[in-house]
Amino acid sequence: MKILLATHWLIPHVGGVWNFMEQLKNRLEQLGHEVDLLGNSPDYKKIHIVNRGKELAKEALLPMLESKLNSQTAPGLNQHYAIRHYELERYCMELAAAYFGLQQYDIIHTQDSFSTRSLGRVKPGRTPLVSHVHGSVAREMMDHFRNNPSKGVDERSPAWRYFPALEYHAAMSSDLTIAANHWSKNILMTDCGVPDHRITVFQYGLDAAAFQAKYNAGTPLRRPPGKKVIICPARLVYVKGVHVLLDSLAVLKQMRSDWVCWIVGDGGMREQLEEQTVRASLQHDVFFLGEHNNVPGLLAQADIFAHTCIQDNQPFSVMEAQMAGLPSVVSTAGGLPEMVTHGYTGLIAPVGDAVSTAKQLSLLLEREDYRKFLGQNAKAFAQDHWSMDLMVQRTLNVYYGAIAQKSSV
Amino acid sequence: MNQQAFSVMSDLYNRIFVNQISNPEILVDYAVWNRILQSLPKDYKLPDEPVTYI
Repeated sequence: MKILLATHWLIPHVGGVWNFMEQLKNRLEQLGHEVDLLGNSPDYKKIHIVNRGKELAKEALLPMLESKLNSQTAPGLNQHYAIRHYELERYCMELAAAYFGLQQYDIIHTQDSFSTRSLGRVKPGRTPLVSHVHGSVAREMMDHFRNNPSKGVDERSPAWRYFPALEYHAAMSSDLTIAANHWSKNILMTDCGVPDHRITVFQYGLDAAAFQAKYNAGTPLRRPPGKKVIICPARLVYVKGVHVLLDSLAVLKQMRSDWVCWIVGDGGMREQLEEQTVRASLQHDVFFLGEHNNVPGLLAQADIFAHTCIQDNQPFSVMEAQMAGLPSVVSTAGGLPEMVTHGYTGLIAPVGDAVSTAKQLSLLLEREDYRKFLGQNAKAFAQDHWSMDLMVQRTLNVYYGAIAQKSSV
Repeated sequence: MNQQAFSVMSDLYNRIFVNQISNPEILVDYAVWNRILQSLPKDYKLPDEPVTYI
């Protein structure tokens, strides 16, 4: 098969969607399929098929679109700057996809609602389109507007209604939507009105061999003598909730001092989080390691994994921690309760509840037998549940099903 | 973009817009836009009204 994997987001990129696309491409190519990757260039100035070197500058499209889609000719699009921004970006993808040509593909597999709606509008009618949701743009934007009342966007505003509308029309433009968990599926159904039968659910996979190789390679970093390591690999952005973890570590420090915390990752909140660390007198307990090229190697040195996120879908960090045999302390956010079984593979605390998180961390530091029990269960669960082969096979089954469905029409 | 590109008035491609206006000052690359127009579905329109009329 000739397959197009497409996203509105930047490719290449440091982040989950790009990792997912690369891993899927590699596996599909090992099985003899041909795979192209379409998305925005890292500077957002071009749409490109990155593995083919094909590109189209938005400069060739935007001046005309901006002039012809003004507040008189396109009032809906001009209701709010966010709507105008995302729509113009989408139209660039539509026109660029037409420029590159989509006739050659047996199937198109999109990775977000923006690219799904775009490619659904310009693909040949006979070409099946499968979409994947890696989170909820609608939910993230609603949270963003709620947390930033100065933006002046509430439930009655067009900008509020735009994102669920886009997600609805995206799902209806594709033959089937794949969600990684029931949390994502439920949002699509309840917030966006997508019918149940248009969504299928199956989890991501992890390349166990690649993970094990990195795990075995290890890292020169060593845990301080007499201390346990709590590890949190995450981008340093609000939704990852690292600020909540720091609050809980401040509480934990009052309870015991036999630990350090490694925060692995970077992001816009780093300075703010480092300041929070100093304010809480945690600068000798919490270490910001920045981006690291061998997270599995760090996991091999750690004892407890923590992820106190505000919202997340199905983070690779949890999958990797489980594969490394670490117990997880996570929040109830998003799809996390579907990944961690409380009292069996980890412990779960309500979103934002720093005190409960601290108590759970303390329990795991105190009880080595319990910590190891949860870690062993997590590893056994991960080896079976996060199988990459299983995910690829399920994805191919969806492709073949969509192709058969289109052929029968 | 190619400095040698052959530019034409963007109005040549007005058919893809729901509400058409003339912008004679906006020039576009003929080769790029012709290739795009040849590939777009016949009923393709901008803006995407079902998404933007909310």
